[in-house]
Amino acid sequence: MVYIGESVGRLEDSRLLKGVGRFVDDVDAPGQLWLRVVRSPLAHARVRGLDTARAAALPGVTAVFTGEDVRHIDRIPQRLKLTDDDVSSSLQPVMAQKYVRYVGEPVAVVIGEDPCLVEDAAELVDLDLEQLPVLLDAREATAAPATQPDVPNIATTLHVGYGDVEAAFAAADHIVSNEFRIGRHSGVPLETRGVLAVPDVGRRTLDIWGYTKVPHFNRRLLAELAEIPEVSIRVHNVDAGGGFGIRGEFYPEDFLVPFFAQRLGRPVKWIEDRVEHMMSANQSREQIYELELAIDASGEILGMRCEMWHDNGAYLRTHGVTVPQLAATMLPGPYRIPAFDAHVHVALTNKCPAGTYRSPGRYEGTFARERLLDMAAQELGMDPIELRAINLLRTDEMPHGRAMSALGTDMVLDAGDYQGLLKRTLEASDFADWKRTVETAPHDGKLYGLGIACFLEKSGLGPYETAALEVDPSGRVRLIVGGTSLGQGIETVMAQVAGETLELDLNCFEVVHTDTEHSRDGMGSWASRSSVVGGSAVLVAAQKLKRTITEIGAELLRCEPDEVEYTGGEVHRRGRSRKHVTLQQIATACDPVSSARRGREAGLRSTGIFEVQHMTYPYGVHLAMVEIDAETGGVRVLRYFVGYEVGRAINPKLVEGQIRGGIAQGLGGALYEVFAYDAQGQPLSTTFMDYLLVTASETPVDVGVLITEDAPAPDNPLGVRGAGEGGTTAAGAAIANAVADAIGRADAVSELPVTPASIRATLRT
Amino acid sequence: MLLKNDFSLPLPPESAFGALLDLERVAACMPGAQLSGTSGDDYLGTIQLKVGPIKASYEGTVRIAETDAAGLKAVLQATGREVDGHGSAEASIRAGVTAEGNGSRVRIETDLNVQGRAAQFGRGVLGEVTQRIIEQFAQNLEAELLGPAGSAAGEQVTTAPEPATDNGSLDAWQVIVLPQLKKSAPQIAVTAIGVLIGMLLGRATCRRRHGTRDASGHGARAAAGPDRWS
Repeated sequence: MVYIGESVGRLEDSRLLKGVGRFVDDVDAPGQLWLRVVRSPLAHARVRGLDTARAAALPGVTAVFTGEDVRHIDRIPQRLKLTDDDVSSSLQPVMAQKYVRYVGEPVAVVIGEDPCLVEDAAELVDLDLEQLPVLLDAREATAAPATQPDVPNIATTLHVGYGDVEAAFAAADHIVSNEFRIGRHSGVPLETRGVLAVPDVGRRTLDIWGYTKVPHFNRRLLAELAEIPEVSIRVHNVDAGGGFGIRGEFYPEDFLVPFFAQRLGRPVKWIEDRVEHMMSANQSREQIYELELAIDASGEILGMRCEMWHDNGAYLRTHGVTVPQLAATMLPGPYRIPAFDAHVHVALTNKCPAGTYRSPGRYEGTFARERLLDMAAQELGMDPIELRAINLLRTDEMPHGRAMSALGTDMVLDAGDYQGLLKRTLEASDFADWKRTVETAPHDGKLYGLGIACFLEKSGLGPYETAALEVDPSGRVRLIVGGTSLGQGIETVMAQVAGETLELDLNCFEVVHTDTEHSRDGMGSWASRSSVVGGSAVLVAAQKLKRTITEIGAELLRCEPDEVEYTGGEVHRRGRSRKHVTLQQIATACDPVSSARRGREAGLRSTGIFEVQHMTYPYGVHLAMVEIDAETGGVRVLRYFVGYEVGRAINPKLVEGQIRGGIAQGLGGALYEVFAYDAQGQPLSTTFMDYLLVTASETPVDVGVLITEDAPAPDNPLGVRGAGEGGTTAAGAAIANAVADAIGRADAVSELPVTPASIRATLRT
Repeated sequence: MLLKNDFSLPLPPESAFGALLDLERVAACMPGAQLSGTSGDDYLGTIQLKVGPIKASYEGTVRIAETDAAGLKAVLQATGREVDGHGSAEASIRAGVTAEGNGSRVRIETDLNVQGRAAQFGRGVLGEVTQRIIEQFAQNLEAELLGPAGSAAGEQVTTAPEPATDNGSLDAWQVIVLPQLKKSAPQIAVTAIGVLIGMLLGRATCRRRHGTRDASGHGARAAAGPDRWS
């Protein structure tokens, strides 16, 4: 039975398409109360006082809590600790204490009988705030006086690199440099955040719905902060309407809802509304680069130097310095860059805190690097593709170590044919035809351009993942995984790995995740790790279960394991006897008494763990063709193509879906989406009227995807590389390069998103 | 947000300047606004705005911070807060009067700082709403000061009448063309406070010549030109 490599339909879809999925807002508890967060209307202020009397007096309001009620609670720690610096003063408290640092920061919560009632009541909480000056630019933060006594403007600085950069620049024939800016945008999942917490006062337990992405970590964190035994908290599975890195991290509300539910002894539910989401869920991407390349006369890169200002908003949240660190360490990309130096200022400003968003750091860095390469090509009089081709690492240079650490792992580009993929992508897309099309297009007030961008991704972060299998006497197999669903199809992919190994129909499997009662441990789903690390853990568990089934089958057939054969869940005695036992018979025979007689634990089950030290690095190429209306400055993407090496595609259709969805999100950051703030730090993009989420209308129809499996990852038994982010990574770069090409000046674009206004301004100069 | 307006008045500059500082009389011209009293140097006011089915109330104070009688200039400081909610507005209003023919020209710069939900809703809407409210206010003021005889100063008010509700407040519901957007109510009301504050100065025969905003505002109209007071 072959499942790995087959585009089987998603197991999730049978419930999601019938409308019988279960999202957090579908879950209600008898007697539940509703929570509404009172949020700061100011971007920076001293909290002089809060008067909750009017809100508390409203009939139906159960309680109003303020920062005073959680004064003893520690700040929310980093989930990923990637710096040794003490950044504790930059972390976010679960509720504002003396200061508020961004519009949307929780200052109080109102809990009552009805969601509309608590929304009204929240407006009656009287806030006495003394407005303070705001800091809104990461670059200004380095020189500006501290805006607040306890919190630094610069949370920390990072310095990464290798080789002799000074010598590289001294030896250069050409030095190309430019400033690049990436706009603040983020993943905006269809489903907003939400939490339902149900305390059992008698049994002293707490049940939670709504944790996703990293449920085990979030449970552990809640246990620590609220001083509840971890074992007393059960996180239940829910479907998730998108993740993209931002949804499922531990936010203040993930503490406040269960904490106050516990305190009141009543179920409490909170569902975020869209306006709240747009001002309080992690934003991302906002960075400024001063990037320099040293190049010799033949076009070979000698060195790269970068100073970067990363705008992390008001606090460091659970991601800590993940985004700026990945931006810096992944900046050399797939190229041979003998010397590299990056200096990163992680700035705190009075905007919504930032975290990871699909392809964090790589989207930004790829934009800066690939733009600068086009500018270098123009200066050198070289074809941009040729310049890239000669600098891409060759197969004989792999594996390629870089003396840096990314996400706490040593950086070793494991395997790959970067130049080969570029060639294959140009062929598969028929790029020669793209050129002809652009050259022969009529000059009817339109400008046409082509953009190319090469990129390196990273995936499969360890250190480990777990999986477990249990066979029911009915023959149903429960597959418990440590990863979680973000809508990516994890249940299908994990079942494919188990199904192929155990030779069982996929419908035999019930895939369980995000349920701490069944899944005792798990690292969650992020960093394109689930197929790589989680899939490998499933493989290990399935291979163990197959051995166990074989052994027990042999015992039931009263022979030795080497005398039987495993086939499709059944165990057959070799030779002419034709005696066999079915999976159901074997599972039935694993009852406690029979198992004990055979000297085994009861039940037919196995567990697997997969550990890995290094990440695996997928790579790819994006191509874009754009049309610019010279009058309006409007950009249309006419054609798009992605070539992406995934090592091995467990489900090619799902990989393609990941890439296509990723392109749409990358396109958003390239042309449309930006979280704007006014001079006072008021967020101006709090609805979809102002935050221009890409729709089907803006997404190009002509999208081609080439998935290659030429370089299986050596560090995992499936050979897979992560596929979740490569559709997004180079979209900003490729589209910006195409726009600059259409304008006819390599330096025409240095900021994302590229807006009609900026294009018109450029065309006029 | 910087709002700039200027008006011609058929009064000598000194008289015009004196009239400008009579806050109590001009308040009535602001749609939905009332002065409710004084507290020390502060004038207390409320403004209620009806946006379709929604009413929003704001409380505010305005105070004459500086007067330069010789130079015919004054600075007013004003603040307003949403009654049920966390919105607020602050305005610093600089006004000056110069001679123009037989009458005067009044120039007003309002540095309006709106915070809270109102500011966050709809880029560009704030400026548009402001402009409409100024127009309504200008008409009311003209009617108040000149009576039915109308345009004594010989100029025509060019704006079309705005729809008004039975209590005289501007029905921004019809004006702002965003009827589906419930949350716009506080925005419009907060804007109205700023406008009230700005326009409290614009007493006497108001002839709105220019309504300009700074270049950062969406949909900004042409700048007022070289005669811009600063």
